[in-house]
Amino acid sequence: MPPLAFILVGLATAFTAVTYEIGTFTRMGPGFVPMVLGSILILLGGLTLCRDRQSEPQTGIALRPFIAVTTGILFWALLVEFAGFLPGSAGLVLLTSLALPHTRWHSVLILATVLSVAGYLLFVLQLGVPLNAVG
Amino acid sequence: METLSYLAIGFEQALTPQALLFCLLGVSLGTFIGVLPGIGSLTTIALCLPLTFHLEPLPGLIMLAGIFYGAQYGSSTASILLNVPGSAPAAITCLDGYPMSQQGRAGIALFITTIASFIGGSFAILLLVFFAPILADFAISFSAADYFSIMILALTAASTLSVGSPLKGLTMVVLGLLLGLVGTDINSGQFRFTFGIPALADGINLVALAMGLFGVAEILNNLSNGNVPLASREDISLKNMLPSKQDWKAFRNACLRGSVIGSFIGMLPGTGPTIATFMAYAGEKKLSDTPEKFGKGAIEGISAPEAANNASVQAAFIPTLTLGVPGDAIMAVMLGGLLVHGITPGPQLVTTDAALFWGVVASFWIGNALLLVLNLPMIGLWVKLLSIPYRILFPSVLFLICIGVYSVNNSSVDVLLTLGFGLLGFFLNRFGYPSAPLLLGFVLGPLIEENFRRALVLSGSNLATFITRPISLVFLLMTLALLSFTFWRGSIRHLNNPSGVNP
Repeated sequence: MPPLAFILVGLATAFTAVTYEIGTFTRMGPGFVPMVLGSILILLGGLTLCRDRQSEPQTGIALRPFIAVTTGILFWALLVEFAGFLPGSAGLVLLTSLALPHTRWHSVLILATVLSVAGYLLFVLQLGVPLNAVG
Repeated sequence: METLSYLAIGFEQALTPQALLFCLLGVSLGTFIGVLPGIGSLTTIALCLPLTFHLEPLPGLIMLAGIFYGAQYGSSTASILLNVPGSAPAAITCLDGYPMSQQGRAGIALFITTIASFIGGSFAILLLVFFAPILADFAISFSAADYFSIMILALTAASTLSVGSPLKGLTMVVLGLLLGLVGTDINSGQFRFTFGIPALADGINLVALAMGLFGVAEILNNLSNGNVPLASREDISLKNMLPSKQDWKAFRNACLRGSVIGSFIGMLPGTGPTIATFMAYAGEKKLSDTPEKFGKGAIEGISAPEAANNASVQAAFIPTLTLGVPGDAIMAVMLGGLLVHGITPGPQLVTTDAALFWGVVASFWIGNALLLVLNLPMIGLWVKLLSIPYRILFPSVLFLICIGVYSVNNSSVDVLLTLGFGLLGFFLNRFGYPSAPLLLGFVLGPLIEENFRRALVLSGSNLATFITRPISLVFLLMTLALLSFTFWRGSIRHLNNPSGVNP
């Protein structure tokens, strides 16, 4: 699967490069290097496809941690500027903690509180990251 | 003699209370995060990089470097006690360190690895002191064409000499080069691959990329494998750490050989600690009269790789600082940190910015001495850190990643990018694609394009400049030799990664 994806990315790069000015070999435009790299990527993808037919991942992908970590970070990134640092951070810790089975809720809640408050003191008040505590 | 007077200036710089404080802070932080299981040294560096942005160049650099080599000391602790390597080089230490721990010799293993790290590091710093000025003198005559060729060599070496398929390594390098193009083209002002996102106009944020590819991907990998590091309740004190006479004997020569191998490998462009430790281990096993002892707690099996690891880490500063060509992904992140501070590494750094350069070099020694103190009498404290369960550790690290990435540009887009790169790195690692070459390509990409153009301008648009300049020709021939060797012999399959950690 990845070799095919690389070939597609290579193609997309090369086609986008055409829309920039390519120039000539001795007088390169901004599209020149992307063109070359896109072509090399297509070539490498093709070579990998021929040499190495393994298309399955070497180890399986567990769905639970994948979803928990993704939603946790998404939650923080999308909400921290609107809802504030404290709810964003607490949400991140709660959501990502779901990645492991048998969640111990009381310790997760303690961790969420400690991290968001300590983080607020250190990063927002001390280091001056411009975020509100709430809202 | 000139070198000694420069070194004196360096110590003057590194012994100010402020520099000492940041050195101590750096090595302690490095050891602290390095000890935590399942968090590699690259994640550590990327995590701490934003913190150093607020500092002056010299203390910032001293702290960053301290975090780096401090993490190397720390990472062997988890390898020995828990069999969980924090990084690929530390995976080798697991091979004999963990059996020693099972035999109740954990204290001795920790003692040996700390001393080996110190000796390896010191040996390489000595080389750095004497070689860096010579190399810088030599490199001052390097032209754009020579830089272009040496960077191509570095990228080729990094992708083909790493563990696993060279083809996949090369693919990742090219992908990294492409990601390095994102942003405004400096020659024409054209936006390239920004997809209309204003946050991408200045290019992809290095911290976001490194945190995603290493921090987030590493955590996803640990969680997905279900091999969540277990907490340890080992009790170690200085008393049960002292090795016997027999241990010392096995240690001495192995440590020296490891230091030499590590320093040599570390100095080469494109080869990092992973290769150094693999080679040191393989070499010891071959030289030994009792190779059957390896993997069952041989002293040589932890001494040589640990010495090689730290030697290569310190020696890697030679090409990074004097040429501006980083040897591996971690050095690439260091280089990125330097650029943020407005420092362009290269031969002129050694001559015009002598106080800064020698200040950093002197701080290496101070830092290593501090680490010896931190790791021997206070080892019990670090070991206690291993009792922090992973279910507390990983949400905390993810939290630090989010706020750390955000704080660089105060940008939520960067955090989303981190997530994206984390998922990308995680999936590609699953298919055997290593992340380190991508990061190296990303940092070197813009430099390669710039030097390529400059070389053509200087030569009046004559492509032959790359083969008529002798230095450039030598590097290109080495690249060619490396490529043909790799594909001739097939991949270096015998360097199988024993723990499945991606370098």
